[in-house]
Amino acid sequence: MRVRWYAGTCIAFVAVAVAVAVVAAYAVRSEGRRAPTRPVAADASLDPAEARHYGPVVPDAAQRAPLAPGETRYQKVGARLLPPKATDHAAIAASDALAVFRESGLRPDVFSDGGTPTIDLVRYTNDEVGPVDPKTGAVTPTAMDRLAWVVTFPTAAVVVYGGRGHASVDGGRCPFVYVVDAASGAPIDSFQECAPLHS
Amino acid sequence: MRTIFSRFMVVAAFCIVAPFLSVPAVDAALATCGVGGNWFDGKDQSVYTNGNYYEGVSAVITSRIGLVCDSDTSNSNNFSNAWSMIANGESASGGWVQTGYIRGYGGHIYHFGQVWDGIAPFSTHSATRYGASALASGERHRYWQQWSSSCYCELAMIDVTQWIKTTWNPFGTWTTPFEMQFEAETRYRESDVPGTPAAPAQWDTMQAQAYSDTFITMPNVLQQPAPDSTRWAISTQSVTQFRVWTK
Repeated sequence: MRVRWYAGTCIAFVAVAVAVAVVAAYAVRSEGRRAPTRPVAADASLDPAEARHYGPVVPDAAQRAPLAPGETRYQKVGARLLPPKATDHAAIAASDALAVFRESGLRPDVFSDGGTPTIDLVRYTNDEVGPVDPKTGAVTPTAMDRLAWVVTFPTAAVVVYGGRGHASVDGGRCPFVYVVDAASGAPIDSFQECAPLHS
Repeated sequence: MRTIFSRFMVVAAFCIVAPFLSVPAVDAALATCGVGGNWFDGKDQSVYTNGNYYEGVSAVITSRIGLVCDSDTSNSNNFSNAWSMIANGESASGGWVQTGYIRGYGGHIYHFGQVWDGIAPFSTHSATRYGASALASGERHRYWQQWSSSCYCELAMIDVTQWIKTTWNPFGTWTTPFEMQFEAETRYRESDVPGTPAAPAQWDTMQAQAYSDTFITMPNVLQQPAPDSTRWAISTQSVTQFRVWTK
């Protein structure tokens, strides 16, 4: 009688264990079949032609370098602002640079709602803007270590352009920057980017 | 007495009929701006039936002035522009890379480029670059977006100049297939898209960058949603060329 009781308990235990194992295995397989909503890396399910495009961005060496003393860096637009050298002398005044921007007609609204502008004399480099060599892909920057006045409106409205069919979003407010050659008074650059890096 | 009466009748008749004879000025934006938004007139490709997907776009666009409505005098908010774009295939999430030209209230025409990875908030995940010098109406420039294997990023290009580039890889950040968009856009429907019937804004030499990384002549007949304003028009010249204007 006791033997039959042990045998029955043993069979029941094995049956429960098998059932748990089957359920667990099914759950794992289900998780594995679940399609990712946003692929973060290439996987075997992707077409090889597409899969080869996945990988980390290769940043410019200059943008990857540690910040220099006194440097301000706008990484998304590839701009680096360094303090001027002791021997640097601007041919035009800061007020002239502001006038160049005002007369340009670009984003005049920042004068009324962009906050109080700062105008700084800097050594300006833009690593990522300029003509591209079609063979090598190398960029010749339009500004490299150029003495420049940088006019910055700290809280200018960020304007969202496009895209069709995409959800509307609020642009927020960010620094708006206009760069003027301190020797010639020619405009060099203009951009808007939040959260620049400062050393 | 009879002559005076006749002249009176002629003047009276003129006063009644004159309002119906007035012709709206061509290329005249309306005075009062309505509901703000992002309103479009152009072409796009968000649905693909042949399995061929793309990673970049290109078009030569003729610059034209788009007059804007008058009651919003903000140059940045009240704009009219034209561009090419590669965008996140998951439209609800946003995200794009674009270059084109833009004109704001009371301003000139400038190049611009904007990139956004599609992650909120827009302000800290986007960047915009403007041209420092103004363009003239009628200038033609190639506005194009190119995925590059040298950086695993998207380059926003104007002519031969790299304008801005992404600090992220759209592959892995966005959902494929990506959207191609070629649009004119305004903040208000009461503003003009660039171009007039006599001098429309034109997109031509349209290309797509295939997964081989090579730009090819636009292979698809792009989708053409109805313009967001009945004041705007669009016409297709060929698979690689279309025009937009304000009626």
